[in-house]
Amino acid sequence: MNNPIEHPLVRAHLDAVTRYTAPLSEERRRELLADLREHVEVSLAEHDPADEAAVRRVLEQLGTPRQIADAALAEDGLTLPEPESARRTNVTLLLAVLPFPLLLLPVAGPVLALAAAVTAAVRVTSSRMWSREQKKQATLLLLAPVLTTPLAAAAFVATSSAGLTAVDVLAACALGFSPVLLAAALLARSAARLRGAATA
Amino acid sequence: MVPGITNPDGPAEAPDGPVATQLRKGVLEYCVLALLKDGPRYGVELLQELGRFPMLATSQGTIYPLLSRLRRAGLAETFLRDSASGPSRRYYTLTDTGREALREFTTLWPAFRETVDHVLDPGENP
Repeated sequence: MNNPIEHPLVRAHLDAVTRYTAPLSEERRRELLADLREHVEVSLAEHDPADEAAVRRVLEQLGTPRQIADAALAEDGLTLPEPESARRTNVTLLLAVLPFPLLLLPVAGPVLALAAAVTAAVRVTSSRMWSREQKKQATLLLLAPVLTTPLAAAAFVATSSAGLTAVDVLAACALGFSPVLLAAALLARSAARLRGAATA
Repeated sequence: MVPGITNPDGPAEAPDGPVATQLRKGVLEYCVLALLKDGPRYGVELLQELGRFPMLATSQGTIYPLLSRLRRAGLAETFLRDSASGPSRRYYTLTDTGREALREFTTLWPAFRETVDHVLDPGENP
Protein backbone atom coordinates (compact mmCIF):
# COMPACT_ATOMS: atom_id res chain seq x y z
CA MET A 1 0.00 0.00 0.00
CA ASN A 2 2.18 2.83 -1.23
CA ASN A 3 -0.53 5.27 -2.15
CA PRO A 4 -2.26 6.89 0.86
CA ILE A 5 -5.43 7.16 -1.26
CA GLU A 6 -5.75 3.38 -1.01
CA HIS A 7 -5.89 3.47 2.80
CA PRO A 8 -9.28 2.04 3.92
CA LEU A 9 -9.95 5.05 6.18
CA VAL A 10 -9.28 7.49 3.32
CA ARG A 11 -11.45 5.50 0.94
CA ALA A 12 -14.32 5.34 3.43
CA HIS A 13 -14.04 9.11 4.00
CA LEU A 14 -14.03 9.94 0.28
CA ASP A 15 -16.81 7.44 -0.47
CA ALA A 16 -18.96 9.16 2.14
CA VAL A 17 -18.25 12.56 0.52
CA THR A 18 -19.29 11.03 -2.82
CA ARG A 19 -22.59 9.82 -1.32
CA TYR A 20 -23.43 13.14 0.35
CA THR A 21 -22.69 15.14 -2.80
CA ALA A 22 -25.19 13.25 -4.98
CA PRO A 23 -27.09 16.49 -5.83
CA LEU A 24 -23.93 18.10 -7.29
CA SER A 25 -23.29 18.03 -11.03
CA GLU A 26 -20.97 15.23 -12.13
CA GLU A 27 -18.26 17.71 -13.12
CA ARG A 28 -18.27 19.58 -9.79
CA ARG A 29 -18.30 16.33 -7.86
CA ARG A 30 -15.34 14.93 -9.79
CA GLU A 31 -13.40 18.13 -9.24
CA LEU A 32 -14.07 18.14 -5.49
CA LEU A 33 -13.06 14.50 -5.11
CA ALA A 34 -9.88 15.11 -7.14
CA ASP A 35 -9.02 18.10 -4.91
CA LEU A 36 -9.57 16.06 -1.74
CA ARG A 37 -7.57 13.12 -3.08
CA GLU A 38 -4.69 15.38 -3.96
CA HIS A 39 -4.87 17.04 -0.55
CA VAL A 40 -4.60 13.70 1.25
CA GLU A 41 -1.81 12.56 -1.05
CA VAL A 42 0.26 15.70 -0.51
CA SER A 43 -0.46 15.80 3.25
CA LEU A 44 0.66 12.20 3.70
CA ALA A 45 3.55 12.28 1.24
CA GLU A 46 6.13 12.48 4.01
CA HIS A 47 4.54 9.82 6.17
CA ASP A 48 4.75 6.07 6.19
CA PRO A 49 1.57 5.01 4.33
CA ALA A 50 0.84 2.56 7.13
CA ASP A 51 0.97 5.30 9.79
CA GLU A 52 -2.68 5.20 10.80
CA ALA A 53 -2.37 8.02 13.34
CA ALA A 54 -1.15 10.35 10.58
CA VAL A 55 -4.00 9.31 8.29
CA ARG A 56 -6.54 9.96 11.03
CA ARG A 57 -5.04 13.36 11.79
CA VAL A 58 -5.18 14.43 8.14
CA LEU A 59 -8.80 13.27 7.77
CA GLU A 60 -9.78 15.01 11.00
CA GLN A 61 -8.34 18.29 9.78
CA LEU A 62 -10.04 17.79 6.45
CA GLY A 63 -13.43 17.75 8.22
CA THR A 64 -16.27 15.25 8.32
CA PRO A 65 -17.70 14.11 4.97
CA ARG A 66 -20.93 15.87 5.90
CA GLN A 67 -19.15 19.21 6.58
CA ILE A 68 -17.28 19.03 3.29
CA ALA A 69 -20.39 18.02 1.33
CA ASP A 70 -22.51 20.75 2.96
CA ALA A 71 -19.91 23.36 2.00
CA ALA A 72 -19.80 22.09 -1.59
CA LEU A 73 -23.60 21.98 -1.89
CA ALA A 74 -23.97 25.45 -0.33
CA GLU A 75 -21.47 26.82 -2.86
CA ASP A 76 -23.89 25.75 -5.62
CA GLY A 77 -27.03 26.80 -3.74
CA LEU A 78 -28.04 23.20 -3.07
CA THR A 79 -28.84 21.21 0.06
CA LEU A 80 -28.79 17.51 0.76
CA PRO A 81 -32.33 16.38 -0.08
CA GLU A 82 -34.42 15.28 2.88
CA PRO A 83 -35.62 11.73 2.30
CA GLU A 84 -39.39 11.31 2.00
CA SER A 85 -41.07 8.99 4.52
CA ALA A 86 -40.11 5.32 4.12
CA ARG A 87 -43.83 4.59 3.78
CA ARG A 88 -44.20 6.87 0.77
CA THR A 89 -41.19 5.28 -0.93
CA ASN A 90 -42.53 1.79 -0.22
CA VAL A 91 -45.92 2.60 -1.77
CA THR A 92 -44.17 3.97 -4.88
CA LEU A 93 -42.00 0.84 -5.16
CA LEU A 94 -45.06 -1.38 -4.67
CA LEU A 95 -46.86 0.46 -7.49
CA ALA A 96 -43.80 -0.03 -9.70
CA VAL A 97 -43.81 -3.83 -9.31
CA LEU A 98 -47.63 -4.18 -9.18
CA PRO A 99 -47.94 -4.37 -13.02
CA PHE A 100 -46.68 -7.95 -12.93
CA PRO A 101 -49.44 -9.59 -10.87
CA LEU A 102 -51.97 -7.27 -12.57
CA LEU A 103 -50.99 -8.60 -16.02
CA LEU A 104 -52.44 -11.97 -15.04
CA LEU A 105 -55.94 -10.44 -14.82
CA PRO A 106 -57.91 -11.16 -17.98
CA VAL A 107 -58.84 -8.27 -20.34
CA ALA A 108 -58.29 -5.30 -17.98
CA GLY A 109 -54.86 -6.58 -16.81
CA PRO A 110 -52.55 -4.60 -19.15
CA VAL A 111 -54.58 -1.40 -18.68
CA LEU A 112 -54.44 -1.69 -14.87
CA ALA A 113 -50.76 -2.60 -15.07
CA LEU A 114 -50.03 0.54 -17.09
CA ALA A 115 -52.13 2.62 -14.68
CA ALA A 116 -50.00 1.35 -11.76
CA ALA A 117 -46.78 2.16 -13.64
CA VAL A 118 -48.01 5.68 -14.54
CA THR A 119 -49.05 6.32 -10.91
CA ALA A 120 -45.60 5.23 -9.73
CA ALA A 121 -43.99 7.61 -12.27
CA VAL A 122 -46.15 10.51 -11.05
CA ARG A 123 -45.20 9.78 -7.44
CA VAL A 124 -41.51 9.76 -8.33
CA THR A 125 -41.61 13.05 -10.25
CA SER A 126 -43.65 14.81 -7.56
CA SER A 127 -41.26 13.79 -4.76
CA ARG A 128 -38.42 16.09 -3.67
CA MET A 129 -36.20 13.18 -2.77
CA TRP A 130 -35.05 12.18 -6.25
CA SER A 131 -32.64 14.09 -8.43
CA ARG A 132 -33.68 15.27 -11.89
CA GLU A 133 -31.63 12.46 -13.48
CA GLN A 134 -33.29 9.82 -11.33
CA LYS A 135 -36.74 11.19 -12.13
CA LYS A 136 -36.06 11.13 -15.86
CA GLN A 137 -34.66 7.62 -15.78
CA ALA A 138 -37.50 6.20 -13.63
CA THR A 139 -40.19 7.85 -15.76
CA LEU A 140 -38.70 6.52 -19.00
CA LEU A 141 -38.49 2.99 -17.64
CA LEU A 142 -41.95 3.07 -16.05
CA LEU A 143 -43.60 4.31 -19.25
CA ALA A 144 -41.52 2.12 -21.57
CA PRO A 145 -44.18 -0.69 -21.67
CA VAL A 146 -46.31 1.58 -23.91
CA LEU A 147 -43.71 0.93 -26.60
CA THR A 148 -42.05 -2.31 -25.56
CA THR A 149 -45.25 -4.35 -25.12
CA PRO A 150 -46.59 -3.79 -28.69
CA LEU A 151 -43.05 -4.37 -30.01
CA ALA A 152 -42.78 -7.66 -28.13
CA ALA A 153 -46.24 -8.68 -29.42
CA ALA A 154 -45.24 -7.80 -32.99
CA ALA A 155 -42.10 -9.90 -32.61
CA PHE A 156 -44.19 -12.86 -31.48
CA VAL A 157 -46.56 -12.45 -34.45
CA ALA A 158 -43.65 -12.28 -36.86
CA THR A 159 -42.00 -15.41 -35.52
CA SER A 160 -45.06 -17.62 -34.93
CA SER A 161 -47.03 -19.26 -37.73
CA ALA A 162 -50.16 -19.76 -35.63
CA GLY A 163 -50.78 -16.02 -35.05
CA LEU A 164 -50.94 -14.57 -31.53
CA THR A 165 -51.95 -17.19 -28.94
CA ALA A 166 -53.01 -16.34 -25.38
CA VAL A 167 -49.63 -17.52 -24.12
CA ASP A 168 -47.91 -15.23 -26.64
CA VAL A 169 -49.93 -12.25 -25.38
CA LEU A 170 -48.98 -13.00 -21.78
CA ALA A 171 -45.33 -13.49 -22.72
CA ALA A 172 -45.32 -10.25 -24.75
CA CYS A 173 -46.83 -8.38 -21.76
CA ALA A 174 -44.29 -9.87 -19.34
CA LEU A 175 -41.44 -8.94 -21.68
CA GLY A 176 -42.85 -5.49 -22.45
CA PHE A 177 -43.33 -4.64 -18.78
CA SER A 178 -39.87 -5.81 -17.66
CA PRO A 179 -38.44 -2.20 -17.67
CA VAL A 180 -40.69 -1.32 -14.70
CA LEU A 181 -38.88 -3.93 -12.59
CA LEU A 182 -35.57 -2.29 -13.48
CA ALA A 183 -37.06 1.09 -12.48
CA ALA A 184 -38.18 -0.35 -9.13
CA ALA A 185 -34.75 -1.90 -8.48
CA LEU A 186 -32.91 1.37 -9.30
CA LEU A 187 -35.28 3.43 -7.15
CA ALA A 188 -34.96 1.01 -4.22
CA ARG A 189 -31.17 1.19 -4.43
CA SER A 190 -30.95 4.98 -4.51
CA ALA A 191 -33.58 5.30 -1.76
CA ALA A 192 -31.47 3.08 0.49
CA ARG A 193 -28.40 5.18 -0.36
CA LEU A 194 -30.12 8.51 0.34
CA ARG A 195 -31.47 7.22 3.65
CA GLY A 196 -28.00 6.01 4.60
CA ALA A 197 -26.52 9.40 3.72
CA ALA A 198 -29.13 11.32 5.73
CA THR A 199 -28.71 9.31 8.91
CA ALA A 200 -24.93 8.73 8.89
CA MET B 1 -2.64 38.72 20.64
CA VAL B 2 -4.89 39.07 17.66
CA PRO B 3 -8.21 37.43 18.49
CA GLY B 4 -8.97 34.35 16.45
CA ILE B 5 -5.36 33.30 15.99
CA THR B 6 -4.40 30.03 17.59
CA ASN B 7 -2.25 30.74 20.65
CA PRO B 8 0.57 28.38 21.54
CA ASP B 9 -1.03 27.46 24.88
CA GLY B 10 -3.80 25.56 23.15
CA PRO B 11 -5.84 25.66 19.97
CA ALA B 12 -8.74 28.07 20.06
CA GLU B 13 -12.05 26.48 19.22
CA ALA B 14 -13.52 27.66 15.95
CA PRO B 15 -16.90 29.26 16.61
CA ASP B 16 -19.34 27.09 14.72
CA GLY B 17 -22.77 28.66 15.27
CA PRO B 18 -24.99 30.23 12.60
CA VAL B 19 -23.69 33.74 13.36
CA ALA B 20 -20.06 32.70 12.82
CA THR B 21 -21.02 30.82 9.64
CA GLN B 22 -22.88 33.86 8.29
CA LEU B 23 -20.00 36.20 9.05
CA ARG B 24 -17.44 33.90 7.47
CA LYS B 25 -19.51 33.62 4.31
CA GLY B 26 -18.86 37.21 3.32
CA VAL B 27 -15.17 37.59 4.15
CA LEU B 28 -13.58 34.16 3.77
CA GLU B 29 -12.97 34.37 0.04
CA TYR B 30 -11.17 37.72 0.41
CA CYS B 31 -9.03 36.26 3.18
CA VAL B 32 -8.10 33.41 0.83
CA LEU B 33 -7.27 35.94 -1.89
CA ALA B 34 -5.16 37.86 0.67
CA LEU B 35 -3.18 34.72 1.51
CA LEU B 36 -2.28 34.43 -2.18
CA LYS B 37 -1.22 38.08 -2.39
CA ASP B 38 2.50 37.39 -2.01
CA GLY B 39 2.70 34.58 -4.53
CA PRO B 40 1.34 31.18 -5.48
CA ARG B 41 0.63 28.58 -2.81
CA TYR B 42 -0.37 24.96 -3.17
CA GLY B 43 -3.61 23.70 -1.63
CA VAL B 44 -2.26 22.09 1.53
CA GLU B 45 0.06 25.04 2.19
CA LEU B 46 -2.77 27.53 1.73
CA LEU B 47 -5.06 25.58 4.05
CA GLN B 48 -2.38 25.23 6.73
CA GLU B 49 -1.91 28.97 6.65
CA LEU B 50 -5.67 29.48 6.88
CA GLY B 51 -5.78 26.91 9.71
CA ARG B 52 -3.84 29.38 11.89
CA PHE B 53 -7.05 31.39 12.05
CA PRO B 54 -9.78 29.13 13.45
CA MET B 55 -12.18 32.09 13.30
CA LEU B 56 -12.10 31.84 9.51
CA ALA B 57 -12.36 28.15 8.73
CA THR B 58 -13.93 25.21 10.49
CA SER B 59 -12.22 22.47 8.50
CA GLN B 60 -9.84 22.33 5.57
CA GLY B 61 -11.99 20.26 3.23
CA THR B 62 -14.70 22.92 3.16
CA ILE B 63 -12.28 25.36 1.47
CA TYR B 64 -11.90 23.36 -1.74
CA PRO B 65 -15.39 24.18 -3.04
CA LEU B 66 -14.58 27.85 -2.39
CA LEU B 67 -11.28 27.57 -4.27
CA SER B 68 -13.13 25.93 -7.14
CA ARG B 69 -15.53 28.87 -7.30
CA LEU B 70 -12.71 31.44 -7.18
CA ARG B 71 -11.15 29.66 -10.13
CA ARG B 72 -14.40 29.55 -12.10
CA ALA B 73 -15.03 33.22 -11.33
CA GLY B 74 -11.60 34.06 -12.73
CA LEU B 75 -10.26 35.44 -9.43
CA ALA B 76 -7.65 32.72 -9.08
CA GLU B 77 -5.98 30.23 -11.40
CA THR B 78 -4.11 27.01 -10.82
CA PHE B 79 -1.06 25.30 -12.27
CA LEU B 80 0.70 22.04 -11.52
CA ARG B 81 4.29 22.00 -10.34
CA ASP B 82 6.44 18.97 -9.62
CA SER B 83 7.55 18.50 -6.07
CA ALA B 84 10.95 17.23 -4.93
CA SER B 85 9.15 14.82 -2.63
CA GLY B 86 5.83 13.17 -3.40
CA PRO B 87 3.16 13.96 -5.97
CA SER B 88 3.06 17.12 -8.07
CA ARG B 89 1.14 19.95 -6.49
CA ARG B 90 -1.62 22.22 -7.68
CA TYR B 91 -0.70 25.84 -7.00
CA TYR B 92 -3.24 28.63 -6.67
CA THR B 93 -2.35 32.12 -7.81
CA LEU B 94 -4.21 35.43 -8.09
CA THR B 95 -5.37 36.73 -11.45
CA ASP B 96 -5.55 40.46 -12.20
CA THR B 97 -9.30 40.29 -11.49
CA GLY B 98 -8.56 38.60 -8.17
CA ARG B 99 -5.99 41.24 -7.25
CA GLU B 100 -8.50 43.97 -8.11
CA ALA B 101 -11.22 42.30 -5.99
CA LEU B 102 -8.81 42.06 -3.06
CA ARG B 103 -7.82 45.71 -3.47
CA GLU B 104 -11.48 46.76 -3.41
CA PHE B 105 -12.16 44.67 -0.31
CA THR B 106 -9.09 46.08 1.42
CA THR B 107 -10.29 49.62 0.70
CA LEU B 108 -13.85 48.99 1.89
CA TRP B 109 -13.10 46.90 4.94
CA PRO B 110 -11.95 49.59 7.46
CA ALA B 111 -15.04 51.72 6.81
CA PHE B 112 -17.22 48.61 6.99
CA ARG B 113 -15.67 47.53 10.30
CA GLU B 114 -16.02 51.02 11.80
CA THR B 115 -19.65 51.25 10.71
CA VAL B 116 -20.53 47.93 12.34
CA ASP B 117 -18.66 48.89 15.52
CA HIS B 118 -20.55 52.16 15.63
CA VAL B 119 -23.95 50.53 15.11
CA LEU B 120 -23.19 47.96 17.81
CA ASP B 121 -22.11 50.58 20.35
CA PRO B 122 -22.66 54.22 19.33
CA GLY B 123 -21.40 55.62 22.68
CA GLU B 124 -18.14 53.71 22.66
CA ASN B 125 -17.42 54.34 18.96
CA PRO B 126 -18.52 57.89 18.08
